[in-house]
Parts: sequence; structure tokens; C-alpha cells
Amino acid sequence: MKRTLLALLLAGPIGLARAENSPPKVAIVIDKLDGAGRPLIDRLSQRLGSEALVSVRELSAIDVADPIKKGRLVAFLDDRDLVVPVGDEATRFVSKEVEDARVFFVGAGIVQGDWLSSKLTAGIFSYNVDQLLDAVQDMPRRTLGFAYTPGYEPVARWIRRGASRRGIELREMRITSLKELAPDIRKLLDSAQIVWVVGDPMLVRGAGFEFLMQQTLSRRLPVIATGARDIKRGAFMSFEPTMAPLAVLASRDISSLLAGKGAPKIEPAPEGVVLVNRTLSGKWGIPAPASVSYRLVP
Amino acid sequence: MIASGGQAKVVFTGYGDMQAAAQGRFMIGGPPSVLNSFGIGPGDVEARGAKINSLGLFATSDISDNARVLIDLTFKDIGATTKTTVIQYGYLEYDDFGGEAQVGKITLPFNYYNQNRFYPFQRPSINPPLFQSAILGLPISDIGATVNKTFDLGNAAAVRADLYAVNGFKTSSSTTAFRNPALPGGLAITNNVTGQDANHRIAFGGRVEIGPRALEKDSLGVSYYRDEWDPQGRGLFQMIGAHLHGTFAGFDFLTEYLQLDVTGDRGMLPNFGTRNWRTDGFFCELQYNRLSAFDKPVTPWFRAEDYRSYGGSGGRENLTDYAGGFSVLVHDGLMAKFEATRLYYRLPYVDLGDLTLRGYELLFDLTATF
Repeated sequence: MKRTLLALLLAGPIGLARAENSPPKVAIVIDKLDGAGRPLIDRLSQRLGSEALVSVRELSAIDVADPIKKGRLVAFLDDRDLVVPVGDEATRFVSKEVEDARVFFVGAGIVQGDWLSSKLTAGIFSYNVDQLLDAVQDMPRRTLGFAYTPGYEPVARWIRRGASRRGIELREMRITSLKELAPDIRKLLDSAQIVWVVGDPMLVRGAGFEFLMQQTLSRRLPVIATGARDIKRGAFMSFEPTMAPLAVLASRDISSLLAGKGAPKIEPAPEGVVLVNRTLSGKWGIPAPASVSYRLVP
Repeated sequence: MIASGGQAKVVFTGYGDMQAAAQGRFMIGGPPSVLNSFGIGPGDVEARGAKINSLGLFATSDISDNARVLIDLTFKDIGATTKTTVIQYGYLEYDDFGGEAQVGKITLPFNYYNQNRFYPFQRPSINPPLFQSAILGLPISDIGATVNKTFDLGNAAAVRADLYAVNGFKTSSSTTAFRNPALPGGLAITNNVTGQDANHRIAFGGRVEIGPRALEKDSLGVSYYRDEWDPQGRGLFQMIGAHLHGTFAGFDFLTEYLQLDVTGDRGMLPNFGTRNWRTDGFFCELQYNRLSAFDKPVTPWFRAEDYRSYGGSGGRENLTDYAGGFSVLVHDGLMAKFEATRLYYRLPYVDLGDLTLRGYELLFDLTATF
């Protein structure tokens, strides 16, 4: 439970009030500062450093199961002008715990739909719709079943537009509740040869996703999912963004936001690599896509 | 331009801890006059029951980039009403000088457990080490100020130093007794802290820890606390501590040594035959953090402790306890714990004999955080 309350009386005497012309305070929260994440953070910090006071917090280094440590982190983030979560875990944490803060997420694939719709939220997804659709175009099966949850209408528009350009036949399903998930998924699978799911954790994580995998694997239907770890769970294809162009796009959008010029509400990742399930590719005889950069994942 | 409203916000987090004693059996023995004074008779005592051990609310607010306020409001002894409401800590923290300063009611940096494992959600065990929790009292906290700074030694090593000055102990019931004999849990020394200063003297102390930069994970430290507890500012209460905390290959090991020195205490005169007494003891705790069952993290642990207190001509007070169990992270924010503990306690009475308590307890606990 977390609630935002009134301004503290203490704040004035201690010097809370920020001078009008002081630089905005930006917090970057990342899942893990590992080999993949560090260049992105370095680039973002470097690019934004001249126009904002940038702080970085590594989520995996903070025991957020401890409410005292979580409270410290959330209080810190609440006090920022802009919070930039990088990756799925950081985005999930910020969407759940930080209230009333302007957020620009970077490289996340699983975002709560209602939070995504908020006017305070903007960001860049971890997948590139065009590259994934190119990969679909390369596949022998061409009827794409697409399931999404409320809040993901912009992604649905990208996919609709891209599929139409490529002559991919599209079957759509908007899933609004967990109760509807099973019958809706079954209905979609009856008419699709490939399935793509984006949306709430309700659909792309937990029991909802397990159900989808169970159904599609038994029907030998390839699934396009949001992250690399979904391949291990039986998805056929997913996407991994390339960090350098992601950092360039993110810093451009964030700079624009900080300058008050606005930025696109949400965008796909600029470029990356399509991940293909090596086992399923061999077992089902579906070749890896020829026209896009891909990597076989064991 | 993006600009903030310049308002500090207060973030509330918290926890609840519910305990159930599935089975407890203790055998009490001792001189009849002593047992009578506690209102008990010799023989077996069986215990079963459930209680809400504590509910806590943590309020945190960043009031500027380098200053924040932190408060813990804890409710205990919850039944039809809440008998105890404690501000466990409440301080202003400031960190704009390369270190960190805290002013207010602070949890003292003494050894490791006091600051890092006191709360139920910070440990897999249900009860903390028994001597510290049931006789000394946890957490050791007081009103005053503390300053700490970490010095980088290079090669990924660091030293952290903490210094503090606080009001010190003031016993609530007597001006001549620092501690009174009781069964474990009957009296916690720090439960006697009234929040007021006992005398004109300031209690002070510090801790020095060395280890890799992540001192929270691995550290070797020594701690010291000194106070004069009676109204005249003469009776000495001194604590000396040392701790070793290490993590390796999923194991987490913590051991703490504690020495207490007390002078001028009439309260323990019938037990130790002198007003000056001393406690020596330690606990060791080992837990393993890489097990899971049904995709739920499971943490088994074991702890042993032994504390002996003695004065001049009297006997020795002895507390020996073995405890073990495991915790299961059922869900984010919900931990189930199981614990078995075996206790032996002996309290001497000069010319009368020893009061003894031995037995075991099986406990179940649910800790929720939010």
C-alpha cells in the first residue's frame, strides 16, 4: 500500500522548494546494470547530463521486498520530475509503486494497459513491429492471429497497418478480462496459423500465458511473444532490441520531453534481432526468417 | 519544461506479522519462594495459541535531494485493543557530505542484527536470537544523533565507521535497579528505556566494519556502547560487540559476540551476589538462500546461541537455545515461516538455588509486507 499525502510542513525550512531555473531531476531505474544494460545507461546519462540532474538506481541491487528499502526508493522516485524505467522489471515496479510521476519507459515489453493509457506515461517498447512482421512474411504460414489487451490499441494499429502493407491476413482479438481469455484464445486459435500476443501481464505472463502456450504447442502453432525468456517457455519468436539505437532514440525523446516539446506517446524499439526458437524451428520444419536479422535461441 | 510542484510526498509501506504456537512445552523448576514471586508453580507448562505479533507502518519522505524523514510506527500486543504503540524510529536523515547523518530516534548501529534483521520480513526465522530479543531487547534504539561514513580502501574493499551519541538508558521503575530477574521475555533491558534522559550524561558509541564495498552482504565489525544508567550518572552500562557476516554460494552466515558490563545494579544482587555483573555470549546463524520448491523460494536456517551472566559470589545465569526452521516466499509480499526451538535457561539465586526453564516450541508465522 502506498499513498501520496500532503506536502510536509518540514519541507519549507529545510529548503525543499526548488528554484525555478534549477535543472529537472531525472531518475533512471534499471533491472540490472549488466553488460547489456550499462552501455544504455551510460549513454542516457551522458546525453541527458547537460540538461538534467540524472540519478541511476539498479533495482536488483535494492531489496524491494523490504518495505523500508522500498519506501526509500519510492520516496526518491516520487521526488523526481521524470522517472525512466529501463526493462520489464523496472517498468513493472515503477508502474505499480510510483504515483503521479511522469514516466518514460525504455525497452519494456510488458506494461500494464491502464498505466500505458495514462497521460503521464510514454515510452519505447522492447520490440520492433516491422521487423517481426517481416519475419512473419518470411514464414510459410500467413494468417496471423493477434491478441491484445485494452491500452494496446496503438500497437494494434501498427500491426494492422504493417500486416496490410505486407499482405498478411490478420485475425484480431481484444481480450478485456481474465474470464474471457480462455474462450477468446480458443476462438482465435481456430482461425490463425501464427499467434502474436501483446498486452497486460494478464495475457503475456502467468496463468494466461501458460494457457496460451499449452493450447498453441498442442496445435503446433508458432507464438510471437514479448521477451527472450518466453522462448524458453515455448514461444516460437520474440525480439531483442539493440541497445545503442535504443539509447539514441530514448535520449532524443526524453530531451524533447524535458524541453517541453513533447514526444511520441509510445514507439516501437528502433531495431534489434528477431529471436527464433531453435528447437521448434527444427521440430516443426519452419525455417528461420530470411529477410531479417535473427538469432536462434536454444 | 517539466517542473515539479515542489511538494514533498509521504510514502507509506508496512508489514504485518502473525504468529501461532502450534505446540510449546516448558518445564519450570526452582526454589518455591522464587517461583511464588513469579506467580508460578513447578512443573510443565504447555502453550498453544495465536497472536498478531506486530503491525508496522513506515513513512518515508524525501524533503530535498539530500534530506529525508523516516518514521516507523509499530503496534504490538494487539488484542481487543492495542496495548503498545511504539515509534520504533523517527529521524531526519541528511547525506550531503559524503557520509550520512541521522537525528531523532534512531536504531543504534550495534553489531549487525539490530539494524538489519530486527523486522520479521528481514529474516527467515520467526524469533530473533533469544537473549537479544527477550532479555536485552531489540531493537536497541534511542534518541540522539548518529553519523556514518564509508571509506573506499581500493581493491573493492571498504571501511565504514558509525558514531553516535544518544540519551542512554533510564529504567522506568527504579533508580537503583538496572535489571530485575525474570524469565526470558519477562524483562527486556531496553524495554526499560523511557525515551527520557536518565541523567546528565550522554551515552555514546560506535561501530567499525570492514569488508567488500557491499558491506550489507559481507562484513566484519566491532561495536561499542557506553552509558551511565542511574540518576547520579555513576552506574556503568557498557556493551562490547563483534560480528562476522558472510555470504557465499547461497549461504548466509552471521555470528555476533556480545559482552555486557553493568555496575551498581541492585536489581540482580539476589542473583549474582554483587551489584557488578557481566554477560558474555554469542549466537551463530546459518541460512541457505538458493532452494526452491514448486517455484517458491525456500530458505532453511539454523541458529545456536549461548549467553552466560555472572558477578561475584553467586552462580551463573545461562541461556542456551537451538532453533531451526525454514521460510517460504509464498507470493511477493507474503512469507510463511516454520520454526522449532529448544531452550535451556538457568537463573541463580544466592543461597536459594537455581530457577530453571527448559522446553521446546513449534511455531508458525505469516509475514506480509505492503
